[in-house]
Amino acid sequence: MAWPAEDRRATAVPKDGEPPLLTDEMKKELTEKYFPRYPTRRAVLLPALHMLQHHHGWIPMRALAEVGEFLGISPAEVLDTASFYEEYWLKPKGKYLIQVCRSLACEIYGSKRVTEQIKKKLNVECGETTRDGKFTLVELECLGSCGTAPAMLINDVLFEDLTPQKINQVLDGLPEDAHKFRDPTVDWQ
Amino acid sequence: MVAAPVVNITVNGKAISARPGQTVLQAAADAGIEIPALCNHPHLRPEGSCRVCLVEIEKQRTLQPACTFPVADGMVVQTESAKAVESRKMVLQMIFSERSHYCMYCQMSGTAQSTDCELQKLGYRYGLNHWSYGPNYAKNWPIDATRTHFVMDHARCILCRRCVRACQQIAANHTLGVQQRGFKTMICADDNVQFGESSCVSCGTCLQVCPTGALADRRSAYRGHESEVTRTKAVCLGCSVGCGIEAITRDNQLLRVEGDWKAGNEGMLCSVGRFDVVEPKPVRIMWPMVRTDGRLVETSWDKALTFAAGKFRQAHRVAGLASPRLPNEALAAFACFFHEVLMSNEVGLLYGEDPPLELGQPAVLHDVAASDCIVIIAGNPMKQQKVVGHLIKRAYDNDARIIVVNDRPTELDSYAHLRLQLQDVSYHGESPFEQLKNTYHLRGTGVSQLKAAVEAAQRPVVLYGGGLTTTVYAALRALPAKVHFLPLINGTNAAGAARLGLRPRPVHGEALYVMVGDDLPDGMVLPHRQFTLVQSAYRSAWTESADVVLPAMIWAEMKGHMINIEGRSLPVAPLLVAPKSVHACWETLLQLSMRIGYSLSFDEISDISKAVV
Ligand code: SF4
Ligand code: SF4
Ligand code: SF4
Ligand code: FES
Repeated sequence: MAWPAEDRRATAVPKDGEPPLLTDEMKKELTEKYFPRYPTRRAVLLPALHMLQHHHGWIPMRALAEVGEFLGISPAEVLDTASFYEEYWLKPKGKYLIQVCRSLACEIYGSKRVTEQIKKKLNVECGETTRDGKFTLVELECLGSCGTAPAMLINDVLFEDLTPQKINQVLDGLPEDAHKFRDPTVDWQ
Repeated sequence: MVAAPVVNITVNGKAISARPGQTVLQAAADAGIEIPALCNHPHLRPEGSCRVCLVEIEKQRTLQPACTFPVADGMVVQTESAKAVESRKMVLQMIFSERSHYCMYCQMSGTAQSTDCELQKLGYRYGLNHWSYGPNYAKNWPIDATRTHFVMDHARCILCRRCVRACQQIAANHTLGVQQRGFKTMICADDNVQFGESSCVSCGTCLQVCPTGALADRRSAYRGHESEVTRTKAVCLGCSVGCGIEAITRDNQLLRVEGDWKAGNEGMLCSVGRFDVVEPKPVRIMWPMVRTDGRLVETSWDKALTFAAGKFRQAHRVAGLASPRLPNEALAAFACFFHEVLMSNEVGLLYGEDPPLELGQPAVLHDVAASDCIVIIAGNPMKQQKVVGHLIKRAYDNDARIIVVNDRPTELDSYAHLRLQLQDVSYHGESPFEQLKNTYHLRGTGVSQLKAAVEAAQRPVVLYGGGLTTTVYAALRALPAKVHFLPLINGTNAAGAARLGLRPRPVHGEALYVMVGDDLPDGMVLPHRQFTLVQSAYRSAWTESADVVLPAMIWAEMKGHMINIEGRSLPVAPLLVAPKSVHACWETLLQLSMRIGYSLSFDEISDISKAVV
């Protein structure tokens, strides 16, 4: 009987003619900056995943395979690690990440209504991204803003004392280009 | 003699002398105290994830997992204290309620005595007749049935990760992993593809270690509990590795094959040895057949043998071909029959290769897994001696240097730290089926690179295939004495055959006797002769072209010995009883010689064993 499949760990990942997601610059940085820090190559998996997420906004499956190939880790083990941390996005993520707190204080002060309003307004489910790729909605545990519940984060910006009306204002006021969206309380220079 | 250091501990009031470095669970097990465990498996590295083995240890603030907790002098352990039992019950309840353990439909399920499920067994042991958390019957847990030989039902998976560790640590195939965490945790393959599409090679090691019914063998499921079947240790006759197996049989049927943990293959098997042997086979030949008016017609042994004896007596010269999968005894009797009775030297092997010459210190299988530098010169162990291929990958995981020397791509190339080119100085050999023969040569620079790599290593092993030139042999012989050698022999018992002077070669004669055992042609055509006798277990293109067909035993019915790649003589024990009308090869030969008018120099199988082993 033929050997049905081969271990893909050490073989090249098919690129489908597309440029690699783990670019040569990233590999160079990982090699020069991170390899000397750790006893083994595989220990560099987390920094590599960070780097990919930073570059692409999320981590496509193909990128996982490329990281595995680069570090000599099997695809299963890379997915094992990447899927363990909720902070790694293995699905496409919108330009605006809306994170509504669902902890006790916010729940008591009506975070459900806030979430429902966002869902309705953007036509999106929790954990999903809008079709235009602009918004992703998730719920998360405590933002440490219980005194001003309900609270949510849009990218790095905290919004407090939310009501469904306020949600409409906030969402309507977001700039088209997400890069222009900055926390007004921070001095950006 | 220096006494081995001892760690004195007390378990359940019993004083135990443990070895340093042992875990509480191992020390207790050695003293006959069984601590319940689910994620722990004696042949896998412990990871302490299921918490079923929590025990009370004096001076420890909380309960501790026995499977990972190392023994220390003066330690006092209670494995069944009220506190330990209470926690164990809670853990079991949580495991039971995490998925849908709808036991009555599971192939492992049984009574307190007969169950094969390690989880259910603990449920019985701790009197779990209800659980506080409610089961997860409603959720649709996926079933992945895309693998040919076994199925995974996630509903029964307890996430002990034994399968994952087996795939990593034993098979070194790294197919399995765990994705997500907490309640969403799932066992998955590669980048979350179906098992059937994954890099899984169906070695079945994961299946062998799964404690529950989550991994179900398609052929043996529901065909008998452990208490109803017979387990026999034997040897796989799939290839020259000769892996140790445990055959699970019932009512003279082979249900399943598992790897023998104590043999050199350390529990591992390949898909051929574990699964192919229980796949459906062609029609079994039960009685001799003689071609009459162009058709094969069943007849008695006496008629068939007398007819064949007549043909052999008439023939000027009779040629013989035997399968290299037959045990020494059958091959010896076959050779003897040709030399003594038919006075013919035209006898050889049906297929295979000349085994490579023996070289230097022979390696055992464990040397491969434990080596820090492996040279694979000619041959392709990932195809031909698959378990050896896995051992090489295991060594690779432990940072062994891999050097592949070949003239063509092999499955191990992607693991090679160094690849050297063999030069193919081929010629067309005269062989029974006019195959191309290869002879290989290695350049001087290659030889010196090889030497340097081997010299730098502590436990180097050289695996070498057939067809090397004398200069390559000379280069290998000149390697340092610390090198251990393992020949990559093709053909299960080709080594045994070679010791009896049987090798694959062209044979001449107008009559032909082919002893194929349970081999199947797989496209190979027999040379055409005036008269052909085929002795085979199954009907095939070979028997269809024969003039006389005699039944033969299958591998699991044969008795005798084989010689594996380590050069060890392994007993081939019968696992099944052959049908009444099927006789051992050597008995057939005895009968045939009598009808030709000679008697062979043996009349018992033990006579042959004594002569050849
Ligand atoms: S499939 Fe079996 S061995 Fe693997 S994690 Fe589930 S229960 Fe454990
Ligand atoms: S059958 Fe072998 S290769 Fe496949 S998942 Fe199981 S252990 Fe891994
Ligand atoms: S490697 Fe050879 S001996 Fe071992 S299980 Fe596979 S076929 Fe049988
Ligand atoms: S057996 Fe010890 S934690 Fe699972």
